[in-house]
Amino acid sequence: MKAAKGIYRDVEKLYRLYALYNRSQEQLQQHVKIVDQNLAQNFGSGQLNREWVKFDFLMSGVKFEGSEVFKADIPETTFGYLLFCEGVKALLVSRNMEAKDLLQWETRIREFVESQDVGKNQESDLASMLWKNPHPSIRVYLYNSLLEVTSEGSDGSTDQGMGGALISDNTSMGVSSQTSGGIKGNVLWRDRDVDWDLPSGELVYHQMSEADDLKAEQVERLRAELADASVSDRARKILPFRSDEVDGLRQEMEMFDQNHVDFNLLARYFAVLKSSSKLDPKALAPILQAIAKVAVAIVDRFHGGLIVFYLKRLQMIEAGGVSADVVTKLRSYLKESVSKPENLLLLSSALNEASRVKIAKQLVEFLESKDRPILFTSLSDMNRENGIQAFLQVLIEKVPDLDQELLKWGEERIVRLIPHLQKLNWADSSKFFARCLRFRSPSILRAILPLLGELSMKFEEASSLFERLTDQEKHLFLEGLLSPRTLKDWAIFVRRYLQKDTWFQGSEDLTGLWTRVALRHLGGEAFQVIDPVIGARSFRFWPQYSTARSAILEVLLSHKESSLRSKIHELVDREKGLLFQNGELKQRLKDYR
Amino acid sequence: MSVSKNKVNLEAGENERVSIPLSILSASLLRGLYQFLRQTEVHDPSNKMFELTLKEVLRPIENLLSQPGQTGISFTYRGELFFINGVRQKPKPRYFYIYRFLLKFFKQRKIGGFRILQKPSEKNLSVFLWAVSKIKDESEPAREVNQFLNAQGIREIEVHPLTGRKEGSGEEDKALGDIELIVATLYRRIHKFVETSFDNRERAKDFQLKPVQESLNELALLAEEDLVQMLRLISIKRYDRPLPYRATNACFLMMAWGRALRLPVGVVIELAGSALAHPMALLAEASESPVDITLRSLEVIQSLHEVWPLSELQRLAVMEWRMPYGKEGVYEIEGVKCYSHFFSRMLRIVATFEELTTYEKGKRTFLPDEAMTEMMKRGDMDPTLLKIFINWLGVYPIGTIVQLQSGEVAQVFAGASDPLRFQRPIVMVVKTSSGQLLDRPELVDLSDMNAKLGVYKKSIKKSLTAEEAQIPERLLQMTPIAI
Repeated sequence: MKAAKGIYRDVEKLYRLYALYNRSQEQLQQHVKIVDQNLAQNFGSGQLNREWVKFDFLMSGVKFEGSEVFKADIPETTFGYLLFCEGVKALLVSRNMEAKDLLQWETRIREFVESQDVGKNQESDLASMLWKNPHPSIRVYLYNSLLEVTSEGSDGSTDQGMGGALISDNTSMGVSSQTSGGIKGNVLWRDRDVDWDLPSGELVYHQMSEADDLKAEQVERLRAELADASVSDRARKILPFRSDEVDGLRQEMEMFDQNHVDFNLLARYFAVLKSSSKLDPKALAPILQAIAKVAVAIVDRFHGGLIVFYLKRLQMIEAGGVSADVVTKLRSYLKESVSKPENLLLLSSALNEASRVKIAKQLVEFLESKDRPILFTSLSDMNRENGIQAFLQVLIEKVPDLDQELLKWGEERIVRLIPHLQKLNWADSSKFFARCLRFRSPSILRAILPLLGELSMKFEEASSLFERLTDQEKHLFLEGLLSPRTLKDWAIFVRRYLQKDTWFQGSEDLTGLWTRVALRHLGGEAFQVIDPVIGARSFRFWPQYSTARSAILEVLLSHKESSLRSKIHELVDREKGLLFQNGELKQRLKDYR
Repeated sequence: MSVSKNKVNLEAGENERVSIPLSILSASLLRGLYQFLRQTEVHDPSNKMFELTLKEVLRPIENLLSQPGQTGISFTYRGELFFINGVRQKPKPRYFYIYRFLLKFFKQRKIGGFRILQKPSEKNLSVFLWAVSKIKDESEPAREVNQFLNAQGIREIEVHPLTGRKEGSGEEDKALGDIELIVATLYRRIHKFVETSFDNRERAKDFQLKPVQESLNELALLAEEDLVQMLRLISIKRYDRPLPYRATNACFLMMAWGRALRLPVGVVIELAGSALAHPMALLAEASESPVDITLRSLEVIQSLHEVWPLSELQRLAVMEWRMPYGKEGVYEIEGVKCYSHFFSRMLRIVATFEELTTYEKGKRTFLPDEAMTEMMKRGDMDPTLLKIFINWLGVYPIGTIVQLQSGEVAQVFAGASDPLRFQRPIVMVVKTSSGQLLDRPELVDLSDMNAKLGVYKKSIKKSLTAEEAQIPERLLQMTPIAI
């Protein structure tokens, strides 16, 4: 409640400041910043866990969920009163709304009203202007007389304010509350995401029960009754309404839905194009012009669902043998739109949202290859993990030779890309990782080494790679061979490499890692290479490779695999008797159980 | 309102520097008058509530007078439109009840308006408002109110009479005639536009037609009742070339229906524009296939584009209205399911009503009530919108010729005075029970009751066709004698 109050207060504040400062942007800007902070605070307060916040306008004030959030003694100075007078029933603000959006929207309203005061724009009215020009983050619901339709038996006072002073003009349109069980028409249609979901007829359903159907006999009977001199109660309302059907219609009338119009038009235009092989080019011209007009509109609004629909219809007519020229022309309308940086940002956001990801993924299919790395960067910059996964999944499914394309994305992106690709079930991932290794880029190398185990490499190739690595990189390499997803083939590399005397001559850490790798890939066979290193002596009582011996024994002491325990016990028993060795290690060997 | 660096005080009363749009001040004045005058009908002047409501009238008066260049406030009305300082106040959907009340209030008292020459005191304003509210059966109420105000020493306010509406005089006819003339002129102009455009699709621009949008804008200014009255005047729909008439009639009907639904004015104009254009889907004799309808309609739309541009929504409505509603309002076109727009669904109802009630050779012509029954039987229209349409228009729509149980023949003149009794409209009796035509039609309110018997004085027996009724058209077009 407090947060909603705060948000509405800012709506009023900016409007009145605009009038007060006589449009001086400079003076307004400081308040725009403050309003932005307020909006962030109010929407982030946890009190408003919803995408849109709705304020209802009454003559007496403004309400949020039935509670008053704003009231002024002199209503005509307020923005709320202006909207109320012009027929606005409710204002909805999105949590994505910024102060500049609000100011811009309110400026448009103020300018419109002022222009009417000086005799301009007389052919239009504010309500119609708002109805026809929805704002992406600010919506208005407009008043219509269906709002006055009240339930049978109610006193007719609805939300008209002024203490219920109003009496409905349309009491004849009584609403029957006797619905015959579970009727909720158009639920999917009403609940859809109007900025993104396709306004398809698939979302519409009416569960009209038999009892509510209009029966001709009933109508006839009522008409006969109406001819009687006395009016029966039943005939008082000729055709009663169900509350849900009126509600659905009222909602349709409250707000203009350009997407609905565009969708229906596109469906029709493309249906005509599908049969265009029978049409002469002259007949085709109006269709193409009409489609171009809609295409520009959906691109301007960047409605994901409609863009996908458009492109899919295009594919359909292309397959149907429509002239290539026509298809190219139609595609050109949308070609550049998706590439616009602001639209890629919108797509990035949609990929990360559970409600929009389905459409967003379809839209990714139509991205040009040059735009894909840009979208990835946007997703990655914003740490949109879900979005990245969704995006890469589409690429994996739809882009042929993806490994080659990804290699062109540049070093920085590849580095960011590698951990995400590793999480996906991509058949070509090892092929891609192997190609990445050829980059000889230290950053790519560091990114790829932990995944090495998943790649299939020849011994010489892997050995040569290992030899040229720094200790830190070798560390990553060996850890990669320990990952659960490591291929069994790496046992060959491990076996052959351990035959070299060099494997235990690095740092203690590396020797320990090699020991773990050996145990993992070779099992008991590992002791054939471990044992000689541990058991090597100098002058009979000193370990010959003291550092390596400690590192290996440390690993063995903490090794839990039961199948190797007897062998480890055997080694530990032997080594704990060595006279000259680190006292701490000796004690641990003695303590080993 | 005060502003410090980080804080804006929005408390009321500190609004001196914020300019208020004139339209809002005017709306506020109408609201204030409504609040005060409404209460005068039920409360005594001593009631304390008037202290507060008087302030609600005085405040917009002060604000209006303080506007640069304002020397006074003139308040008047014409038809259903209010004018404040000569500026037409657009009917605002949520203010409709205020308009209705004030119009009725001033018309009943035969007051045509008033003028405030300078800021009145609270007391003087109260005296003036009460003087107007107490008008009863005075022969010259305006003159008497002015005399009373003068006697009280109030010279800053004066009222003027309702001119041209004097009962029993020729002036009433003239006033009514004026509005009917305006409506009829618009009707003819729109019809001519449609006919010329349809007949000369490729070269319609050569005819230098007045843009139809201008006519629609003018039409939107007329009262809903005036629009419906036009439909009464053209209730005998027998034309040599019906399509342009069907377009024009549908346009008027839709304009009135949209107004009744209190949709924003611009939306109503667009809706009426769709209705006017709806025969474009019929002109090229397209089949019932949606693809064919789209293609043919688009050809017509495109050929007329220069003289008759349509919005995207209007285009859709023209192409979509012929789609049957089905059970779910969804139709399929090449595998895509589309939900008909409410414009298209409304248009289907209006267009069908016009089609059924307009004479066409070889086809049955329906009476309005028969047409509505037929539309309900067909079940191919949005049932909710159809019910709204029928409830709005009434079982016996304006213009329907009916026979009363007492034997007289009449034409439905206006909707019922009681909205719950829409089967009891005001009718215009044109023929006596013995079959004799009246010299001039007479209005009868069918909701009038016989107080002694407790039954209605007159009731409708049945509707009649023009042929059955045998009424000369000139009689139907005469202004009737008032109730």
